[in-house]
Amino acid sequence: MSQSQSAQARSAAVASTNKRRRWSWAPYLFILPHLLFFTAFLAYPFFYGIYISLFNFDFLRPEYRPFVGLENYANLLVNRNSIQFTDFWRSLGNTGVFLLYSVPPLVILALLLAVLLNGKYPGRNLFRGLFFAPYALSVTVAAVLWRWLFEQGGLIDTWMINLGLSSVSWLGSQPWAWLAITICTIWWTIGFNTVIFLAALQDISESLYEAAAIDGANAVQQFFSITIPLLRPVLIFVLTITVLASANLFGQSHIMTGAQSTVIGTESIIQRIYSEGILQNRMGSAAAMSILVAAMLLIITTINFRIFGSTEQQ
Amino acid sequence: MTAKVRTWCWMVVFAMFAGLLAACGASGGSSTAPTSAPASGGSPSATSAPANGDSTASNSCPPSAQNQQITMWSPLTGPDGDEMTELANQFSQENSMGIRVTHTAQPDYLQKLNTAAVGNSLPEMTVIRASDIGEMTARNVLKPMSSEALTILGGDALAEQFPEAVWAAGEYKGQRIAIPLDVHPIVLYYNKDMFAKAGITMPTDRPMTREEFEQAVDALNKDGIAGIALGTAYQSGAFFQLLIRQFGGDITNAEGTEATYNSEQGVQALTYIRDLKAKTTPQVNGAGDPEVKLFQQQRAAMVLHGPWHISDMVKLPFVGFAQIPQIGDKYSVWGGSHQLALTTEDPAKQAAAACWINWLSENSVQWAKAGQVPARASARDDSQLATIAAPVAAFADEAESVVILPSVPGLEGALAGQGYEVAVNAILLGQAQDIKAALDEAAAKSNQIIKDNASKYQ
Repeated sequence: MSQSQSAQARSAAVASTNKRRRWSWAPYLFILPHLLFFTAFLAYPFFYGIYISLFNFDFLRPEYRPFVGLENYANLLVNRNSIQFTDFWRSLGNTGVFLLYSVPPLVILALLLAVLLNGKYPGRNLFRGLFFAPYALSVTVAAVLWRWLFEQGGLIDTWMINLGLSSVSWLGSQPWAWLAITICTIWWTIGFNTVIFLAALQDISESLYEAAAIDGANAVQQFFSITIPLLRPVLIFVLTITVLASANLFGQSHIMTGAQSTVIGTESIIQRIYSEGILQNRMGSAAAMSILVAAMLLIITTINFRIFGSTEQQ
Repeated sequence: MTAKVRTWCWMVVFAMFAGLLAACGASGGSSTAPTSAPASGGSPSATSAPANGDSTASNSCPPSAQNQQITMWSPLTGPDGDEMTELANQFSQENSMGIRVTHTAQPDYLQKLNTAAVGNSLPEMTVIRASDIGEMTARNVLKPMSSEALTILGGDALAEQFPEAVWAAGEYKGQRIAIPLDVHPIVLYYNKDMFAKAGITMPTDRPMTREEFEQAVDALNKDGIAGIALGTAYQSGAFFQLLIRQFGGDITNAEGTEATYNSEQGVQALTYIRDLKAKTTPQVNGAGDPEVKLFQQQRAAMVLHGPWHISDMVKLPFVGFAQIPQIGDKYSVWGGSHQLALTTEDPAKQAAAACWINWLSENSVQWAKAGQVPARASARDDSQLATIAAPVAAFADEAESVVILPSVPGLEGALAGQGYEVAVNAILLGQAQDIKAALDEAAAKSNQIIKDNASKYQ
């Protein structure tokens, strides 16, 4: 046999052996720890939640758990006179308003910040740290801090009075309440989006910009012709996680506007679910709300991916 | 997949994981159940008066209570909680049966009790707010007191020691669930300096009349100072509740089966509050009691609020304490009540807990140091009250005029949180103008929830 023929024979033999031995335990063992946590904390509660939503459920009262079928869902979707209907749709509307106010700044400002932080100048690492630092705080700390700033008798109110301006009810009227909550949210989470954009920006080769500069493109043209297209998959990713995070608004509106959130229109859907399930002990109904919200977010995310294209590199 | 994309993939995953850890660590850090938390600070309280009920407690305390460990939870997360811990330590040191009582204050104590009930890690007893008794008993968290426990506490004679409404609040479906500890009525804090400068005297043995109150507000409401600081949230809800009763109405009927706050008196009460607020502090609202802060910054001459602020207020030399004014024809005061309830069914532990409750109740004049009015008549009449807690002595008479809601599960939530508080907030924040319509809408919602609860908890 010639050398190439024996090599071919060997590789064929190896290939057939590989086909027989292709299946191994290793990948499954690698994911097993995460799979356990995933099952315990995500999959099981999700399916148990669907189960609960079919009952008039109180976890402390096993003796009273009547099966109500789809009544919890009907109360949210069809029965306009149910206890839950008006509040559920109003909180969804409020959350939608917050999405419109918070997502554009959180994505666009983060991108601009990342572009600024991508330069080479002294102190840029300090600034990167400063912008990311608030993200390390818990939502309670961030929200209490901004509540102290915005409330009556707080810092901003005192400054305004000392400057001779009339008092503004930041946390008690619109549009100031949404402004306050949005400022708090942007300050708290923009660092995270910025870091992700920064990482992606640093992957774009300098030579592309140099070539464009030679061709006569200015900074703005370079930004729109090179940066944005190459960042597209990251943009979609950041947009998706920001939409999901804003839809899950709870801490900021709960702490800053509290019980007034129902009245001034800052009550988020998660606040409503919390009120329904934990404060009013109607856990079945709250579970139904959660399932509906999850379905809506799934639809929004799918639309997101369809409109802005796939995540594959062009 | 190119190496570049893989790299940023890993970076993003790592960043998310780090972020997730930070979020989980920050939010989940306090979820451990402190069922065996050691008593904080074992030194006996040096400043409290000697326990004069000690010998009777040990006489009526049965041998089964010997050496029991009792853990008591409570919602007293402020300085009043420290007072309770001191009292628990004092009892643990002094009682001759070797009973050890540990007090643990819990933020979100209802949620903590819920979680503990599911996980079978409930403490032996808890301080409970009167409005939560019905709901927590119906949901199997609070357990009825055994007849042995009731005998230790003094049997039938005990009822005479407490105002009727407060005693009745501790009962659910004919069973004794809780023993009253205190009544915490809403208090009038006022700025003594501003009153003196304007030449107004605050009556000391009776509440202000309507004329006196309104004259004081008008006299002080100028030059950047508000006559009275009125906020929203807790304060406006409590003010509405007491005012509707002062005008002769009520927020519910005697059985707690119907919302009645959209009556003529309700409209009258809410109109009064709205007009008073528009005149004095139209912009003050929100959680965190900004109206109290305004008063403490000396930008308002008066504020009506809960007695839990007393330990902060006594540090300010300009603060005086008084009974709230009588604006309507009747005198009525908003008040809550802390009561002591058992969460264990073990007879020996119930007996030991009863011994502790008996001691605490007989010595509840000490509890006044925390700013609460002791519910027990003998404690309120105790001559030591004025020396131990002069501010409390100033308004202790209010305790007789406190109205407590009937023990219907979920009633307060249905009437207040989901009901009139929404209407009151909407009117005071300017989101709604028609008071009658707002109250009617809220009352319809309250009645819906009351009906739903009634079928759930029958």
